[in-house]
Amino acid sequence: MLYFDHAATSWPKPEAVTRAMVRACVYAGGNPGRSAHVLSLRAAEIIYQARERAAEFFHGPEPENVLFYPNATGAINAVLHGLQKTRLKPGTHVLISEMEHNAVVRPLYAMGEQGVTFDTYPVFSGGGILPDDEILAGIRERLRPETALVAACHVSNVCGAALPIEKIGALCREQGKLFLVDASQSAGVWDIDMELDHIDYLCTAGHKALLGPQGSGLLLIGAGAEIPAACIQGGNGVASLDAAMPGFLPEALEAGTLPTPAIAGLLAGLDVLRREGISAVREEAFALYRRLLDMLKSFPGITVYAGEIPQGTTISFRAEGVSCTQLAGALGSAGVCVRSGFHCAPLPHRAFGTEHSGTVRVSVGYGNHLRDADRFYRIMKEILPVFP
Amino acid sequence: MKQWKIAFSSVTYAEKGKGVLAARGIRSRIVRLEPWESSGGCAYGLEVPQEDADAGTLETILARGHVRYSEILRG
Repeated sequence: MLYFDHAATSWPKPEAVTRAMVRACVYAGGNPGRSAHVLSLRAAEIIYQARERAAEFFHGPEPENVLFYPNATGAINAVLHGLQKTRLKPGTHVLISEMEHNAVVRPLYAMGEQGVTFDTYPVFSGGGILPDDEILAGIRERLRPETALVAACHVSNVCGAALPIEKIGALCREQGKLFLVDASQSAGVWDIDMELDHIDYLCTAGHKALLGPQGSGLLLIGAGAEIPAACIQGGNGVASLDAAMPGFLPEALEAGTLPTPAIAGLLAGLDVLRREGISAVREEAFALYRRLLDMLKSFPGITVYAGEIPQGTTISFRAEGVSCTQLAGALGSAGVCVRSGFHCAPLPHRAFGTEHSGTVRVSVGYGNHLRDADRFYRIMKEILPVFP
Repeated sequence: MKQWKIAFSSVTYAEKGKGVLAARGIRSRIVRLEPWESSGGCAYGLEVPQEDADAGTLETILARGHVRYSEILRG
């Protein structure tokens, strides 16, 4: 099997991740933060270590500013809907990039019913993305006094494009706007420094390039950033006699039992990346991306979208006259796992003009090797002539 | 052995306190607090041998480590 669907979720997970999850089930199977017996305390220790490791990994503030959600969507919703109770009141405005995923678009669309509006700033240009200064100019033009928050999808889940989050963050800090980064595709591949990038809310999946299992999303809240109100209330082993949620992180926003095995797996994934070095993982993925990009462009009738982007992990393409669903299906039958469709991100497809067809998405990551491109080339060569 | 008992609002801060103290060679053990030892109910504490550090030293270490705690009790 050739697994090229890392933008959806990484696979296979490193053995260390699977082992950590099994160990957590067997030796740390208590409910973390509820009891003082050994199984509960071991679970609490794993969870605290994961908070520490994530804070270090993203140069975030204290470990207690690291929160766990089932996925990046949960983390983003916690921020947007939580801020709706405090900052994003009717009449306020949010600015989002042209790359955003529905994890950002849909909550904001829903908040429109309560009078919160949003606009997009342009990102794409021809075969690539706009120069940084034009992206920043686009943001400046659209900022209003009532703009409370700017969101940036760090790396597109449709193509290889990356936004200059350090520059956008600096602009937000200068303008006094909150800054949310969706790092679902970049965390574990690109360097992210919450402090240098002026990130208030860093939301990411744990199950993609961070190599954790599904169910291990993260929200990191920057030092001094406004704490969103809790959207989910309930027990968390803290101040049980109080009807209100605690006023301090992380328990202010975490209600209910945390998934210790998933978090143990994420911790192991972070350790794998730390041990092997994120730059080494990135360079191998980028080299494969470039080879795949060149190879796809060499096929007649194939259009690669944003195909001038020199480095990344994700490529979107179409074959002329061929349904993307059928092409992805044929690749699947040949043992190549890719995704077709719109990838839960309507805005890039509008920019590419693929809102009626979708694209076939090839995404690479940990565990792929340069030689995989050659195998993919051979399979594509066999498959393409089959289509009329 | 005489112990200090440091009260924390949650196990997160107890874990953080344990790590900060361990880095200074101070032993500790996480325990559940009695209901009368915490406001609001359900909280955790760290038991620390008094021979390892005095209360003032513990306060300083915890403050420098940005560990929020409720109080230091004599166990």
